[in-house]
Amino acid sequence: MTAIPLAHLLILAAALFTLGMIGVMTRRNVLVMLMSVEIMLNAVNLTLVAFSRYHGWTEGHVLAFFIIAVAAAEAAVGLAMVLAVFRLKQTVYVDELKLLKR
Amino acid sequence: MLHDLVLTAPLLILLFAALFTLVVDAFLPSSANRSFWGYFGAAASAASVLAAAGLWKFGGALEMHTTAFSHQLSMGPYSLFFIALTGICAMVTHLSSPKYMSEHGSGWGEYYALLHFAAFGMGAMVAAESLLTLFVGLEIMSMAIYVLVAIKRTSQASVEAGMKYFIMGSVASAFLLYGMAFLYGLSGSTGYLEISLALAKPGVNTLWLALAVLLTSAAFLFKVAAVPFHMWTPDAYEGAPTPITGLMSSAVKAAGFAALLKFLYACLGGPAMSSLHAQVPALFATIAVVTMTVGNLLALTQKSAKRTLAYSSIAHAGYLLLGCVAFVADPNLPGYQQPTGAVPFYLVGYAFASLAGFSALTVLGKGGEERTDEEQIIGLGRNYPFAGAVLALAMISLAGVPPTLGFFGKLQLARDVLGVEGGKYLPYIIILVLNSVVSAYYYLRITVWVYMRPEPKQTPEYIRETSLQWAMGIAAVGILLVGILPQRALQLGARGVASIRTPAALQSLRYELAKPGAQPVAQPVAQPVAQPLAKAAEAPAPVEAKPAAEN
Repeated sequence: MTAIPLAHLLILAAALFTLGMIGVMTRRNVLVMLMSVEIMLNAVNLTLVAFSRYHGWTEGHVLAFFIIAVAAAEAAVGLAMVLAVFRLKQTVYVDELKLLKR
Repeated sequence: MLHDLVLTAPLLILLFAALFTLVVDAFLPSSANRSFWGYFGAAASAASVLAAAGLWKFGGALEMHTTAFSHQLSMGPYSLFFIALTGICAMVTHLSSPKYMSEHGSGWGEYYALLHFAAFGMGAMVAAESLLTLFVGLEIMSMAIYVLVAIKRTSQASVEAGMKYFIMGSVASAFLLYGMAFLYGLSGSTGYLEISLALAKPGVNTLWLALAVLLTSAAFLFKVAAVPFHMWTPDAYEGAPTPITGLMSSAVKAAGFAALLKFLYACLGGPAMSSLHAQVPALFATIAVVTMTVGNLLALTQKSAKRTLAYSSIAHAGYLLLGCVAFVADPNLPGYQQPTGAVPFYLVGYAFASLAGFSALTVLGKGGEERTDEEQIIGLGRNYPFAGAVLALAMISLAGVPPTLGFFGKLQLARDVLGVEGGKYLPYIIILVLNSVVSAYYYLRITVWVYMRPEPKQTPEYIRETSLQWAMGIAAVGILLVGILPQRALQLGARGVASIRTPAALQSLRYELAKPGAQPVAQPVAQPVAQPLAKAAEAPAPVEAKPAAEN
């Protein structure tokens, strides 16, 4: 089995990151926007792990683990916020929020 | 281990105060009056500030080296300076909160716990010596602030502002991480020192380095509300509870700038960024002048004082960014001067002034209704003279009228930036001066509302509370004290900046360690430097492989 070259992993990660960014910018559903942010964070994780394997050193893995933990906390805060907005406005679409439209 | 715990005491006090508040509050009956948490929080923040001051004063006498937890945190003068500053900001915020939050129906214990967590995160990100700690500290701070902005759950403005801040903030974190990933790829390490040593070697790919610098800087620019990333600022500042707005414009900004400067200076400064020395200072200077101009012009058109101060905080981010130019300048050019304590000093002045301003605006939040327009502020000087005077003092200091701190701060910034590349940035300084002239209009307009307008028929009700008056008093005393003794604050800031562990500073540190009697210190400092060098010897081509990704 041949090893996957670093470049392939980096291209995949860059594609995922771009996909996530486009998702955040174009989608209007807050939940989908949160999912897009998660894709961006996972693209970063992939980049880190790829570099980590390339360097043969575990620091990148460690950073990736911390990112996974923080992303979980971020999802908790984000979903709580969506819930708070939904209680007041009965919507999860940012078009219908006054402030986010500007 | 004990050494690490003693060294990080200012942070640990905040952490335990947060946990204590959370646990004890859970067992209080829901009808209990929770305003004592404000005093408890202020006491804990004060303890943290005292611990930082104690370490500053006696840390040297104990022959302690300044990094803790395997070089993840450095508690040198720079970190202690900013931990003390953010601690004071947190203290004022705690004091100004209780009555306001109960008027707005959300004065629960978790509010105070989140304030402690935010202060803890700020301390950690300023003290960070590696990308990992920087990221974790930044996220602890941000996550607490997102929730604090949205904590008035029945207010649409508050919840929507929190949502907006949260979505944009998490995208900014993703950018920061992507930039960090590239830095790790280029250097093979996450420690500031190791990265700067690895990047100083010839053959680093400029394109990838530029990408990493842009991505990480973008995230910091978001946190400090600089121009292409400022859209969240007015809404978040207006929607947040007023004490939290004060915290965001003082402590969050100070921590963001402190972490940005340390990152730029210790991780990317000097030889590490030599291939980008032509572009990066110019980029920062351009963003700075655009930021200050946009902030000031938009502030002119605002009706509400809270929103005006939000735009003013964008303008001040611009002034401070200009000060950052001195930190990214090319040290090899003739006439290079080390950056002095101008940016820390300016941050102290701005933090006290905006804390005073927002704590004085907090008195307008009676009865859960909050508006800070002209009608509410008129008559404040007569009906609540103390709050009126504090608001006026804050406005004068923010405007930079000569005898105040705002003026000395701008003067020092200008002096610092003029030292870069033989006065190349003089036009930018002129724009700064013009900007502060424009800004005087809207600051003095608020002062006019306070004192020089005929009284309205019905005066609004104010929050009159002892702890809020303490908060205003502390902030006002801060403005006056540092305004009277600017030299002292400037010296402390300069000593802080001088202590950042750049590779150059490390040389002097080694010199210190070579002295007899410093044996235990030498070991941990030498170790992490040796590791990446050895690694680099094994794998000499971490850089050449990366351009292949483009093909």
